[in-house]
Amino acid sequence: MSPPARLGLAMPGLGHLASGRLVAGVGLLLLDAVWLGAGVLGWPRAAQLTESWHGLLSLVFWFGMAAGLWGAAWAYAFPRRLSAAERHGAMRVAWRQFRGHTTGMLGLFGVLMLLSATVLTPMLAPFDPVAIDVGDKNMPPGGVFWMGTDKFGRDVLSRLLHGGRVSLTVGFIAVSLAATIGTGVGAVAGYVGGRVDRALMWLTDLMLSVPRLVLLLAIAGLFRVPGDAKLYLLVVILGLTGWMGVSRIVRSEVLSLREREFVIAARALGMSTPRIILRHILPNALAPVIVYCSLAIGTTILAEAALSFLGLGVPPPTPTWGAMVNDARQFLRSAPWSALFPGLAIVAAVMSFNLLGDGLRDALDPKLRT
Amino acid sequence: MSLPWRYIASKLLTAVPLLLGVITLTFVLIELSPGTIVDKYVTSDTTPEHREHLVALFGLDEPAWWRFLLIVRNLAVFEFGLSLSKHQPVWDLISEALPNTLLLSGATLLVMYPTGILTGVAQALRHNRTTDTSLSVASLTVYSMPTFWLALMLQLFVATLWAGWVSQAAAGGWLGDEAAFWLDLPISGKCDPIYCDDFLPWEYALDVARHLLLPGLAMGLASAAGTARYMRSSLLEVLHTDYVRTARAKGLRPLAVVGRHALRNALLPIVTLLGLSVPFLFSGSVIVEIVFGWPGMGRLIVDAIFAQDVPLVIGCFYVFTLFVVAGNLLADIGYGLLDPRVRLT
Repeated sequence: MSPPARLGLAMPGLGHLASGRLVAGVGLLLLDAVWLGAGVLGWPRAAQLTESWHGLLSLVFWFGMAAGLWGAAWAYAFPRRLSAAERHGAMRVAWRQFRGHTTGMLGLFGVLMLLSATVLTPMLAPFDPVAIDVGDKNMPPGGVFWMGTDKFGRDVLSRLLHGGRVSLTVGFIAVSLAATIGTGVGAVAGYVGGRVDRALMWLTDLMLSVPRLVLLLAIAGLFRVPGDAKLYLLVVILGLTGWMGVSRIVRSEVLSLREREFVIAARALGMSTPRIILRHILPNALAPVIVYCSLAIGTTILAEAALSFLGLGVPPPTPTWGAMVNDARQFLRSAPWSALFPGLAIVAAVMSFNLLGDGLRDALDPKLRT
Repeated sequence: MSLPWRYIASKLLTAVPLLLGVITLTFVLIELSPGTIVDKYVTSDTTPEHREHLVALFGLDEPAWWRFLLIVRNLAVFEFGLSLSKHQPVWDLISEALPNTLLLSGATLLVMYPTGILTGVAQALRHNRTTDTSLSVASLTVYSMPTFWLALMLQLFVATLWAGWVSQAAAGGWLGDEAAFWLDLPISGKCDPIYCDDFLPWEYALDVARHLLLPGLAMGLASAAGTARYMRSSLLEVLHTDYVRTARAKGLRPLAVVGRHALRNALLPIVTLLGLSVPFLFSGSVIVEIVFGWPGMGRLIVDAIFAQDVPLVIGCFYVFTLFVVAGNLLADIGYGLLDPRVRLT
């Protein structure tokens, strides 16, 4: 509507910046930079990229990202007049809360940058992440290798980008698995109660009393699987050892919701138990679960990195952040960059999810605000 | 002081099925995993008779349920058996490694609590000002940091900058040879490999402390970030209560309000945190012990897992769980003693 907001149509983010929305403006401009970088580096190699489905996906995603960026700029420049019902929708209220939360927005843009960089990796990565060149080993950061090379002469930046895919894939899928298991266990324990509740909570306590990393080590160390199957094993074991927090949250939510009038009414109307849980209880217990999941992705990325660091993650030559740090230990003093950058990437990724989680907590649940 | 004995007894009783559960979990995992310890001794030249002899030697010819019952019975009387890979009694290995891990955990707590509590208090008192924001950023950064990377960066710092400063100070005559030796921090191990046997007792203690500094710092800082976040929100909550406002209104000095009235209540959840942090301490010690070559339980269990050494793995898990149960119990009892509102029954 206002003229400065229309600047965003030239470059998404400028409009936000010009009308005083600093965080959103800078965040969008950084996303622009990722998009532009991928375009400049990727399109000259487009023919080569279409050969693999990862490359093809990144080319398609590049257009999707452009649509998203300019769509956001358009929506900001020409806001639609909303009906009262739309204005008070749960998602819009939460978004308005979240929009004003500086650190939460920083986390959101961090996560978005991570996600887009991950999908655009084939376009962005300047070199082959597994190509060994002994002549270029342990090169310091400079014009050709922006983050230097490791002890086998592999480009650290390219490995970093490719490693992010493992971390994020494992993080997202494992946490989805954990959230599903935890929600199921918590909902059943809370709603059914009695012996079932005691048995399920005993199981939860049991899983909580074994140090998680030790359990993960035991499973990943005992079940040696070859190659890419390790990725699936990692996802499954991280999911199976991460559901206890969700189940406790859901259980306590269900316990308090179970006695509320609308649930009693549903029961009086003759609804079946599974239907009451799925239709009436779980949607109301969702907010704390979403917050928990955002934070849990951070811890899951850390756990995956620790396993990779100990050599129990996705086997080489597939780059992962933890394994990159481990590889760098041998030449830590002479080539510290090959340990420094993967570590910083882990910190940035985990921190983004933590900030996002904190922001979501404040936006979704005003009661929890500190 | 009367302890709630009935409560302690009932808690200890519930710990028995928990321990049984952990042993079962460990046993099932090992049974399901492919291969046994015998594979390590079998080559292409091994005759079937020799193989069978090995299987019998390790007791693997018995049915699984029988071996499980045997393990449970033995653990009940603290009979840990013989390690299959290290050819030593499991109990000897554990009793050698456990004190080291406890020492490391102690050092961690010494770093973690003072740092975490002071940071949290400083943040809460300067709520939403520059101090609070910058400390928030700092603690969130450390909170998001992988422990192994923090440990490596500490090693890097000590091996390059710190060692350089010490040698310069020694060359410039600022430090004596003796002092320079102690200040030149080692980045791995528990005791100096050359002088360890010749040290006097106080020298030995100093040397271990010097080796302990970096691992303790790495683990302590990593955990302090969480404590600081907890402490900040806990104290902020207390500072907004009515009785703190009353204390302020009657003209008490700010220091007295915070120290005598607010902090005591805000520290309560932190005490619980101490008992509940045992599993996290053990998880962290695995990583830190490996990076710093500290001869504790973490390294022992990793070696045992790689060797598929069933008695040693189960023994380590058993000891870990005992400590976790004890930690939970201590947290409950401590809370009950400190907070008169809580009645343990």
